[in-house]
Amino acid sequence: MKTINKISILALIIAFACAKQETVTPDDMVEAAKAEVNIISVEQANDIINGEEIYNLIDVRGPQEHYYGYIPGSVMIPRGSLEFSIGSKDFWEHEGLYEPEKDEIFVLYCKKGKRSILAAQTLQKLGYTKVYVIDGGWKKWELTYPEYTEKDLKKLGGGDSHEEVGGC
Amino acid sequence: MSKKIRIFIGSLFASVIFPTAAIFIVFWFSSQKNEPQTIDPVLRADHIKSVDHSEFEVLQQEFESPHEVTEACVGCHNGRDNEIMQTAHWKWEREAELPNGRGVHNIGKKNLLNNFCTGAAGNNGSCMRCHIGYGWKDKSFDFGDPTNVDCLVCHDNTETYFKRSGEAGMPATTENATLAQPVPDYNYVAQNVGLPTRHNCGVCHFYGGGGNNVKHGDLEEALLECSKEVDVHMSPDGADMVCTDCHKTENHNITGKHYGVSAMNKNRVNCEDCHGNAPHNDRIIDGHFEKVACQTCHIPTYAKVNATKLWWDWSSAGRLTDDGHSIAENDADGNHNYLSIKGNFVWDDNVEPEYQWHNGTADHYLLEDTISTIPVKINELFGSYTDTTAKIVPVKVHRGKQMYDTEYNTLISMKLHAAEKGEGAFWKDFDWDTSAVLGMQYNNRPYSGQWDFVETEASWPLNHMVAPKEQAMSCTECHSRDSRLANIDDIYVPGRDHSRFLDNLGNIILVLTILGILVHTILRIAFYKKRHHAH
Amino acid sequence: MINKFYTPYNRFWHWTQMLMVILLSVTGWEIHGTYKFFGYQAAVSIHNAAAWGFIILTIFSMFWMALTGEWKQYLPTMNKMGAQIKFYLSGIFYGEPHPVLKSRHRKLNPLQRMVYFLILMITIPFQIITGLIYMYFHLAKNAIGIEYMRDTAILHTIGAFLLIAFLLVHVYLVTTGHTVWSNIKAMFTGYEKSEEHAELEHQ
Repeated sequence: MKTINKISILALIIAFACAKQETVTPDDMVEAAKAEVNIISVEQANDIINGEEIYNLIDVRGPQEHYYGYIPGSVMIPRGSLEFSIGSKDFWEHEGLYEPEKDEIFVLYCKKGKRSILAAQTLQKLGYTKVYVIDGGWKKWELTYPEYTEKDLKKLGGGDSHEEVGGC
Repeated sequence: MSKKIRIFIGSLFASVIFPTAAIFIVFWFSSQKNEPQTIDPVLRADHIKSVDHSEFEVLQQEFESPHEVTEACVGCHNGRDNEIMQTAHWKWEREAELPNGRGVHNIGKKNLLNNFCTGAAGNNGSCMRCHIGYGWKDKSFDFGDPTNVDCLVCHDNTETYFKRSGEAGMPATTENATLAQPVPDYNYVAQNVGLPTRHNCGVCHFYGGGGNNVKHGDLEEALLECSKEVDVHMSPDGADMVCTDCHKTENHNITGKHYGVSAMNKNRVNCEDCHGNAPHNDRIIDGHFEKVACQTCHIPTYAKVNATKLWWDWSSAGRLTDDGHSIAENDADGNHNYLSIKGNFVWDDNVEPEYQWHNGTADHYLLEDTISTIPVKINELFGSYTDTTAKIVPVKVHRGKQMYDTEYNTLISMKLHAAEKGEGAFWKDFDWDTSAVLGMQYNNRPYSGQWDFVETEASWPLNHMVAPKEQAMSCTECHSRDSRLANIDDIYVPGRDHSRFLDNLGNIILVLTILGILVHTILRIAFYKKRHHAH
Repeated sequence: MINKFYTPYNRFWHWTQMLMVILLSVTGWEIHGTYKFFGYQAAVSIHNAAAWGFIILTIFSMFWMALTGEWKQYLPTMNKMGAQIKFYLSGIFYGEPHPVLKSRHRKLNPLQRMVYFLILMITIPFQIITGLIYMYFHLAKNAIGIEYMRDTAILHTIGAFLLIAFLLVHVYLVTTGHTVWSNIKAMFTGYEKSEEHAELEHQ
């Protein structure tokens, strides 16, 4: 009887050890988060931007990506500090904005729409109720509305470079 | 008792074991998969060089000009000059019958417009660097002179031979050589010639549009040495094939051609040339062959290493710094997304293709055409579901905005390149009107002086960067509600399409059925209870 | 008295058919795009294999019916049809006996006869034919000159809805035997206490 007990305990331990080793890939994480968040098209995002309701357009990419090109009117909150910045009065004051309420619209984007899905999941956990992710992210926006974009290269240091690339 | 056991065993077999076994057989059958066919290609690399060119005295002479090298080549390889001079590589045009009764035209890079630098003709110094001749500076170029043929650009096996930029196909000379673009060592190059390598083809075909991977999206310098994931054919870890292993060549006539510049379904290279038309050994997957090109599933994304240009907005070009310098700005990935000389761009990598029907024929915006649609179709691939020769193919669509004549309603050929300022080229003087005047003049086209910008699009079918079979698209990329084939609307794709009406009607019927059952059940229970209470 | 209603083959046919139909439905709706379960490719393979299983089973069963004369039981009749409908609409609530007594050579009541006849003669062949056209569309396209898969797919979907509606009602009516479990038990074992006998016992 005792041996049977021992064996079953051992089996349990092995089962637990195996279960613990089970890790997921980043794509699995995105896939899992996808089911929980609201994904909208660039056209829908454009409707929100041009709509009546208050919205917060958040670029979750880093400064080395953001300033090279972003959707006009967006606030950059890199995903690394998102949880802390989003509810920080200081952060919003620094941006020259008031701190948004948790039931306001948040439209998130990144380069192609993976990071923003994870970021949206985080915001929802923090209690934000109307969080949307732009499908395809900045790249999709840039391709759909190439003339409705902004950049701020001065923030990256260095001004305009003088370089010519001719030929076709 | 024994009868009960008999009944029990009988039930077990007739009602449980045999039916379950039947289902297991079904599952077993459904899991039976044949292995796909594999191909063992015969590679050009296996070709054994028959002579050592360094032994030939004629190639040891002091060459004064590249033309003399050609003369030496033709001295032994007689007749080859005539072969090459029949090809589109030399003529930059070929006779083609345009679809829809638009007649026979000589079309090619020589005279077609595009939505990159708008067209080669008139910008010869820059564009004709990729012509296989020496010095197609202007219309006076002699297409009948064999010594104008550049043998080396295709047959150099040393990777040291280059044409100089801005010289219409001439290599650097002692007068214009720079550190980066030196005079080629003709003896070294000529003594080390052979079949074209990836470098030879790539030097032009990878850099079309003014930079790596700008034009094609599936042809770029990463293919010189890439992983299997990028291109299963060309990777050293894969089949390690070179361009001419598929683009088989006889008498300098290279098979395969691109629908950016050709119209007829002739002289093509197809996957099935090697793989046959049922390579999967799976009836359902092979059945797709009738309507779906191999490329559609096997090139799930393109521009897998470096980004490709997807949007080119000329209307923003010409912005200069306060002191008159031209500007170059990058996007976050380090690709130019603004150049004063060219305007705004959008680049992307790992791009999902768009999908179109294609039967191998294409129409083109010809120099004499007027604008009939917006966006203007630089080229148009033909085909539809009912066309038995058409298949769904993956396409890179390059969109942009470029100059057009608002009076004559025509796309404008721009004069972009010149050696010096003051010659009226846009890249030097940034004057739209002069650029249009000169560009149209060179192409013998009327220009009213009124211009604006119009949206255009060009379709570039994708054929390269075939992924390993494990990375081929899964069924649900197309067979699901958010199908990649959203644009293909003349077919029924199971999983993507459904009749909303039928589904709603069916669901209502099922719901009503269930409701009816529930009501019946409740009534039965209620009446049953009533009856038994009464007792 | 215990009566034998269902021969072993009859039961094998019934339960195998049930499993096939469940499998075909689950994979069919996945192919339709309603949900993801097996994975699309697997769903298609299973659906096609099950379809062939179903076809083979149907052929066997047709032989069985022809050879044993069972087919006669599926001929529709209007005799007592009204009584049967009335039973389901009211009599059943008052605990009235079934108007048509079940026997070895009359397993089905008039309503069942009608419905099963329609299912066996129309819906199932319809599903098999549209299914085969769907499965071998390239061949069918040229052979019978249809252009679009859409029509075939929609017809096949209509059949699927009808069969599922039938299935729901059928499963429910199983519980309307002499007792809730008596019908399903009979389908498993082949035997059932006859209602007549049971009624007598009851009294």
